[in-house]
Amino acid sequence: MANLLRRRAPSSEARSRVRAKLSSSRGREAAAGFLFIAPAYILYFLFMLLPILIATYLSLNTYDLMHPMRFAGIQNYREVFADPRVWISYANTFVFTFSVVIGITVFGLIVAMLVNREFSRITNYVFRLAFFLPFIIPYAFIAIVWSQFFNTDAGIINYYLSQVGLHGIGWLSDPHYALLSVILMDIWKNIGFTMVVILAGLQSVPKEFREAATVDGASYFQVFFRIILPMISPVIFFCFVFITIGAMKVFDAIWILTKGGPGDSSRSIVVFIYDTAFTSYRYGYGSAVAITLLIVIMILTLLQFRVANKWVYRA
Amino acid sequence: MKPPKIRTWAIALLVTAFAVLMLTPFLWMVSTSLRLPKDSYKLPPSFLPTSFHFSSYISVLSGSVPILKMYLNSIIVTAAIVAGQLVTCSLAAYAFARLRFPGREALFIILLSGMMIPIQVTIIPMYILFIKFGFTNTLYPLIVPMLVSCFGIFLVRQFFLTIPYDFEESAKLEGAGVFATFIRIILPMSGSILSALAIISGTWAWQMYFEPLIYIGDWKKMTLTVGLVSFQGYMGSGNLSTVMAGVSLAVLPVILMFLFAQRYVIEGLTMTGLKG
Repeated sequence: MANLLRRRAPSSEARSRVRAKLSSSRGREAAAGFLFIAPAYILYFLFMLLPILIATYLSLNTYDLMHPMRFAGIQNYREVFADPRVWISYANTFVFTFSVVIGITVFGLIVAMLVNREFSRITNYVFRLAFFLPFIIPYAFIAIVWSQFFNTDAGIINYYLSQVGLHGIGWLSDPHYALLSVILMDIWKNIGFTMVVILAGLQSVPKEFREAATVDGASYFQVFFRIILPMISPVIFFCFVFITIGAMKVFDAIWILTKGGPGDSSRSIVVFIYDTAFTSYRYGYGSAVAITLLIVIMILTLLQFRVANKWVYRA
Repeated sequence: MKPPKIRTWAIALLVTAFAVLMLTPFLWMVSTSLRLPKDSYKLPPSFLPTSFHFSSYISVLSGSVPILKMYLNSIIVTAAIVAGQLVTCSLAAYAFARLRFPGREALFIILLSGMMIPIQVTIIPMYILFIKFGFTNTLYPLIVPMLVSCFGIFLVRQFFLTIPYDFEESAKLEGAGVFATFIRIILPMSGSILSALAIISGTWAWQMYFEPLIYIGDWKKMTLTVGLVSFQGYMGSGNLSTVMAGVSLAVLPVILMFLFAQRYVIEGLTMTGLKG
């Protein structure tokens, strides 16, 4: 009897070993570590990881919130690949993303180079303010104002075009121009971001490099392409990645300006997902399309990092 | 060898032209808001205010659309998100930067890959769950999922990694525990990165449109972004100056904040660009 009792309870040696491990400074540190990441990780799990699992499950079903869920297997994904509207939306999104990344970075670079002079403090302040302002104003408000600029009949841009003798363009009503209009507005809005970031990068290029090259007889373009560009390539890469991910997910601009139309000419993939899930109540199908977007963005980001390893110069 | 003066002036002119181009829509917006409603469509458009009628502002503030309530909603959401992110991100960032615990690297990578997850994937299931629990037309779905930011954790951790170990070591010698070290020593040193995070997440929270559009249908519960866009649709084409007055009011605090905090905003942004 006494033997049985003895075998069940842990020996006082074992107990004090465990106690030592838990109360050691390492143990305390580990406990603190878990405690510190707990709020963030619980939220991350509940609102990012878990929904992804649920969305994956949803994508294998047909669901409209009103009728019970019906299992559909990969039916939704088959439909995604066969649906021409999905391909059009993706095409629009890629065109948008490509145009916007190039436009924002190139213009931002040009302006940054122009501003990177010894202007007085006040001028610098005013210039930075003017260029950066559109970036921090919420997109919704900007789109409201721009929709008036793009108005076909009473719009500002068409008015000035007519003054010069050209006839007005259906910026938002002509399927050939709808996407272009959104692109123009987006470039205008985001130039400030690249300009400011690239400016900081430019100012960290030591003047001696440029001066040494000029003394050695390098032309302005040689200095730019051989010295400045490689030295700011990390910053440019950062701009590329940041703008790409945002552009792939564009919604506000398009929804407020054109709602994706006319037809599907300016519909981005996120606008399509919104329409499918929230206007047509097809939550299963919408989830399937959303999952494809997740995969596309992951692939794009990984590709960009691969390219960066080859092209970005690290001091 | 300084560049000739004329070149500097030519560049200044060019940049000024660009800058004016950037500001034109805002100038037009304010000028139109100061016009009488019947004049708002008058062409040629004025970019500088030609008349100073404040009637549009009065009708916006006292009209049937609760603009002030929308303002309040946006403020509540933004403040809650900023506060939440500051707390969760700084705690987690410190743990990932300094504390040793099993699985730290793996957990961090999983967290970091969260940055690539578009909200469109997670919002459909979240919407369904929030509806089932009866949280539509409230501000909770806008706030709670946004209380943590993967980017925020990454950003603050980068900063913490640059703090010399000396501070924590001397704290340890004096017998301070982990939490005390964090609160008394690390946090006070982190003013710059925390304000950068506050500004980045605040700006982002203020401009949210997609999420409030999905969760909220009631005028009184809308945030400013969704509210003003609906306002524009509601007003139709009759009342441009009223809509512009509403937008001007919405844009004003952002401009004011930026004027005061410009240095911090830009510093925060460039910090991520140069180090990231």
